[in-house]
Amino acid sequence: MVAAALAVAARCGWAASQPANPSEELGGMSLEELANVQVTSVSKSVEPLRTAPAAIYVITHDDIARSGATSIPEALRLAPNLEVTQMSASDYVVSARGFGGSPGAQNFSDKLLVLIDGRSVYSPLYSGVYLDAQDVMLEDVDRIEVISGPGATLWGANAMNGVINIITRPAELTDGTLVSAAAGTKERNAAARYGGKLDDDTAYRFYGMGFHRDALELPTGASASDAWSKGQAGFRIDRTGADDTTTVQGDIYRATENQLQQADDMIDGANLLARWQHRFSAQSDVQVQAYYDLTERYSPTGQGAFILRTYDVEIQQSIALGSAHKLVWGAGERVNDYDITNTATLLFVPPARALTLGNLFAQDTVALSRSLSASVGIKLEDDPYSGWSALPDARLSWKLNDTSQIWAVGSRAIRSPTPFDVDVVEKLGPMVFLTGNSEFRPEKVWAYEVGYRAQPVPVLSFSVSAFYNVYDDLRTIEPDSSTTFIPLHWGNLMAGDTYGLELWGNYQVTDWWRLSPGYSTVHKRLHFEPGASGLLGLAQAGDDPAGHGSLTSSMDLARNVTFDASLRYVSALPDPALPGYYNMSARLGWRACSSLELSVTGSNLLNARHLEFPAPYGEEISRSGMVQAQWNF
Amino acid sequence: MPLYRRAGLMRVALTVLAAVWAAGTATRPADAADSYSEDAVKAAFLYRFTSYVDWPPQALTDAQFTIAVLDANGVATELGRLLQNRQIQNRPAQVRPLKSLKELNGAQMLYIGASHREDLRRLIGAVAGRPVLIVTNEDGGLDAGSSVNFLLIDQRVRFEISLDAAQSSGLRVASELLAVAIRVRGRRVYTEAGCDEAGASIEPASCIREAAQR
Repeated sequence: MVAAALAVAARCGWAASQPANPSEELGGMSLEELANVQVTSVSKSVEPLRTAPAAIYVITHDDIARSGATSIPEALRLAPNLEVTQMSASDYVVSARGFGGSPGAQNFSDKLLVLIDGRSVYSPLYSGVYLDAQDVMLEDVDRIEVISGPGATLWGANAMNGVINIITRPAELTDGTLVSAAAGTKERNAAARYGGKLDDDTAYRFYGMGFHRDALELPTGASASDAWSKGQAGFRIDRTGADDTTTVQGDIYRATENQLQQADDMIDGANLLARWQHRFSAQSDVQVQAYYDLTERYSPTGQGAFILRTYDVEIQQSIALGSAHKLVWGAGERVNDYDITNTATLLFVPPARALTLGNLFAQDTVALSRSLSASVGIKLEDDPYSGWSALPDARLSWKLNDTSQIWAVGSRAIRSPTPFDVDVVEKLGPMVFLTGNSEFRPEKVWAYEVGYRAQPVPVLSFSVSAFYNVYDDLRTIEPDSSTTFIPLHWGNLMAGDTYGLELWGNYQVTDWWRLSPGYSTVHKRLHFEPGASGLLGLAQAGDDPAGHGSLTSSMDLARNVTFDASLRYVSALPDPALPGYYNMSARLGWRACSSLELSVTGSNLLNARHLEFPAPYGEEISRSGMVQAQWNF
Repeated sequence: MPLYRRAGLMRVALTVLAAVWAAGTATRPADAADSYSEDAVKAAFLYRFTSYVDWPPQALTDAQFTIAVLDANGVATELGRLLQNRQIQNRPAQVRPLKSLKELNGAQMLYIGASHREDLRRLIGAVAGRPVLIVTNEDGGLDAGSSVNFLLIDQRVRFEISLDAAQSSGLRVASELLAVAIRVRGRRVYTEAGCDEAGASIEPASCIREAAQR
């Protein structure tokens, strides 16, 4: 190991001296040499203004690297339009525009769509996302697009309150070898990737990664005994021809999660995706995508388990009709084939099903004038429990000038019923305590949004969006209609509206210093409908903070030294109550030479330990530190 | 499945830190710059590209070879330094910073900086069909019609090429340039016949250099 360290040091050689005239030196370099020159740039202002008529925030590759984040949920904290709450060592709740759930009421964040390279990873069993199972090698992530607000027409099922689109780099952008290792007070991890070219048009990479994350603490100070480890490996092949682009990628993973006073949880999974894009002409292209995803959770001692196999095929075509219209249409079919091993207290009846989800959509974007464009679209979705739903969407984008834009959206989205809504049976000892509801209806929203984004001067850009959402048929708990009260069952007797603001910006203070503030609010005005029991109160829809914000500072202290710090604030949680809190993370990075970067990261710096959700569901997160080395050659 | 033993990895990381620190301080002169500015590297690329692109004769009637730069003062400054006493296509080379495209005149190459993102398609459309190598610097630059587009990847300046765009400008691009490009869009037309084959948009660099010397 010492030898390896010395080898790294030896590879990291320095040019003996810098020439007096850098222009002269650069002018004499070959194309290949130029392509390998490290440049300094902190500026985000070179990023193009995102013109999509939606509240879209893009977390870039550099943002992730400079934050020191080692997991997807920690990286998602960078998006001001997401609320991220760490519950345990492996469990995070991520939500947009409220509805983060309340585990005490068995309500979970279930209104987001999360895609990894076009593969939907929300669990059809309850519409939430197992972020501990679905992972990527963060070093190969190109960007994470976070869209708050519905996106069902374009993005797909379950995009009720937001879409998280995790996009990894094509293989041609990840050539060479990357090795990284980190060790800290709460985590050790390592990852390696190798990328190359098979021929002029075909590039590939494969990677392996693994980590161990230590247990959090109970409020008593005792360990929560929820340490976990994961190993994952995968590959991606991209072939880019004149008119065809083909991608094949896959991952395989296994994780072990310790549980307090219980046997370990095991997570296994694998997925394989193929995508083919073909350009018929400048006016027309088509994309066909298919994937298989296997994910299972089980305990070796034979407690509850599930195995879920997803088969998905999608086709999408875009056609320019004349100079004004751009039509996108598509169709998709997904089969979720699952098999659940029931426990004595949590049962699904039937325990196995193959659920088929189909959809058909079309969207037309019309350029009404040079500055005004509108798009109207509709998705028809056929879900196995509630049948066909229509999900319309209308967007208007008005470009005031080259540097500012106003947009407005009206759309409808649903969260379809899941086995957890329909098939679940919960027991207290021998007594059936709660059952699913075969009449459960989709939860629905009509969402109205307006936004303004501008870059009035090159050093300053910002985005403001406001939303007003009208919800109906939200899930409630209702007693049995007979006199026995128990068993309880799910109902659809909550409705109401929410409104809020999301703002974020980038201010390039100097060449070497950028400040990025962000803030989001959500106010909920929910009520029970006539006939509702009101059991567990309105807070079951989500124990959400009214506001959360962040201020991130990114500095290039020297040509090869970066310092980033992020202060974040979460306002008080209402019920169960938790006071608001501030926290901070910081990272100092030193690019020792063009192939090696060393960094030190501190997380949760402001408190020795803190809760992000009240006990017993939330656990104490302590201050932590980590050193990391990344070698790229 | 204990993936790592805590002490083991910690020790490696510390050893790496110590070794690199030692290596770094031993061989480095203090204050040595480790990397160049993005603008300087882009300027060097722009200069280099000219060796791998073949302009039609009607594009080379001026006594000078001109690289026009729109809204990229830093790149224009670096390019000015770089082009002092250099020749491109056997002509003295100069940089011409533009305030508007009207000043493009007979420039053989146009670099468009970052601040025209909304207008890019229109700007490029205005130059369409002229034998000008258009280089852009933003996501979607090739979609807007440029022939070469810079990308910043892992703090390195890389570029992508659209052969269709180059061809419609009447330019030929050498395979050596394509080999370094991150990706190449459009049809590759290989010619076996030799350097004078008409209609080929891709040429070995030797042919182009030969042509430049003629």
